[in-house]
Amino acid sequence: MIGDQDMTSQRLGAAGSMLVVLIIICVTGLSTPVGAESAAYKGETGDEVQLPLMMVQAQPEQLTEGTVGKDTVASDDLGDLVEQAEGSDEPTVSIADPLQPWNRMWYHFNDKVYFWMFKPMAQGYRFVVPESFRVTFSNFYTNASAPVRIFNSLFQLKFDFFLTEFGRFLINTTMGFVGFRDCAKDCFGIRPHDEDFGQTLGYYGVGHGIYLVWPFLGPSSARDTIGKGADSVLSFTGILGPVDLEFPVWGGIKVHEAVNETSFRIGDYEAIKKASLDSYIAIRDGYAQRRMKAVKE
Amino acid sequence: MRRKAVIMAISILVLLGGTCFAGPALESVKSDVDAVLKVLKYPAHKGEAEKKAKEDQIRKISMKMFDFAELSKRTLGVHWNKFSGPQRQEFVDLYKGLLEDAYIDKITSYTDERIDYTKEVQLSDNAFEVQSTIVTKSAEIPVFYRVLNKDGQWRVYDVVIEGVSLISNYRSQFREILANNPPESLLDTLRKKVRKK
Repeated sequence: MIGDQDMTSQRLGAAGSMLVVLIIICVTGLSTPVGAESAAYKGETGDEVQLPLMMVQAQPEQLTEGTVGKDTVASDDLGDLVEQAEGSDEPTVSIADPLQPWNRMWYHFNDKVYFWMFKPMAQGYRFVVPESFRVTFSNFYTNASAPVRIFNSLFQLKFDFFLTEFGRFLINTTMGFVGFRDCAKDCFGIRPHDEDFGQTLGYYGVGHGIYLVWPFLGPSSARDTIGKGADSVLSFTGILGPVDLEFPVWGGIKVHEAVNETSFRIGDYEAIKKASLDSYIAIRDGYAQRRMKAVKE
Repeated sequence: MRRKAVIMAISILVLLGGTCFAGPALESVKSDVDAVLKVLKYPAHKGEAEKKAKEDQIRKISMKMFDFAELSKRTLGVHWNKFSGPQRQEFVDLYKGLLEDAYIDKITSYTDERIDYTKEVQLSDNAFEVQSTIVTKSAEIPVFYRVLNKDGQWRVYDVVIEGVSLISNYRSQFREILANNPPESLLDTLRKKVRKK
């Protein structure tokens, strides 16, 4: 749900990534891995001063009880945070961001790219193309990137994922009409597992390095940029694209894929912007959390 | 048609499978979500007044479903103790307002997506994670509710969508402001955001 313009545009033109990879390796030297820092619930002794318990403000509309629940938070719920264990079950994920001003610039650039380009395109496209067709295209692109998931499952020695992804690829390419139908899921209930080279690196203990926002491609990190580069070699559109197809055809396919995916997610990015105080931070944190989960699975 | 039957059969199996794991936490979340869905499915009049009425009903359900005080505490972490009593009350109200404003549109845009409840996982003595999936035509979105039992009542204190925890996400944003500023300036930022609409 995070940054749909970013997520979809990530798929845009992955070909240049290999060059980018080289630049990254040169510039950052792979950087320092940033682990999860444990939640800071340690309780600061300086602030142990007892604060008076809050009395519910006597605002008339707050005193009327609704049929379902009370409309104000009970005063006794607002006491000090004392228990150390409370809330500390969950580590805070973080990602180093030394290039923040640079990243923010590209974040704003991508924001405009979304609102001025991808969103209107996706809206028009959604209006013209029925949902079932859009799902069909989405299935095709997912199937075309099957080698990425197959190989990375293998790299991480996840043989069960390897087998399901390989099976899905065989089924969808044959019974699913070259992948236009996700028959593996629809007919046999075999669900996909998302694996990519960034996750493979993470699996072997490589940290993010630093957070990076790429124009058009959106949020990434030093590690995941390298991953994208490796994956672009593995995916069929990557293999066929620069080699066998003319640039306009290949570029057209990439743009169609991005617009098609965006058509399902119009409104998600807007919701994030509306819900956040600082959407740049919200998306950066969302990226770090999502990738941590992806590596764990 | 046959495909639909297959999907039905699979989803029934999933639902039956789900009930095996179902405990009180899962049941509680499910009944709250069902209550919201019931409001949404109620004959859809497109009028502004109807929309407003629906939103009000959903807000009421959310007050019962979510433990906004707990949610606020866990979001602020150590910073919570720096807030005075009245500041805490205001923070909880503003935070609630921010979440409601942001997500009410998303909720009311719900159409016919299926929701599967997979299982509940125990996190601590009195906290559980209720795992569900929203199944749309093009994607399956995992939505996990973290619930806490207080005096026999299960209430949500965090929602994790596609691996992104709501409270962690806000913690990272609030931390930026609270690192160099007093609680009042966070409240001020929230006031502007919530009232702006």
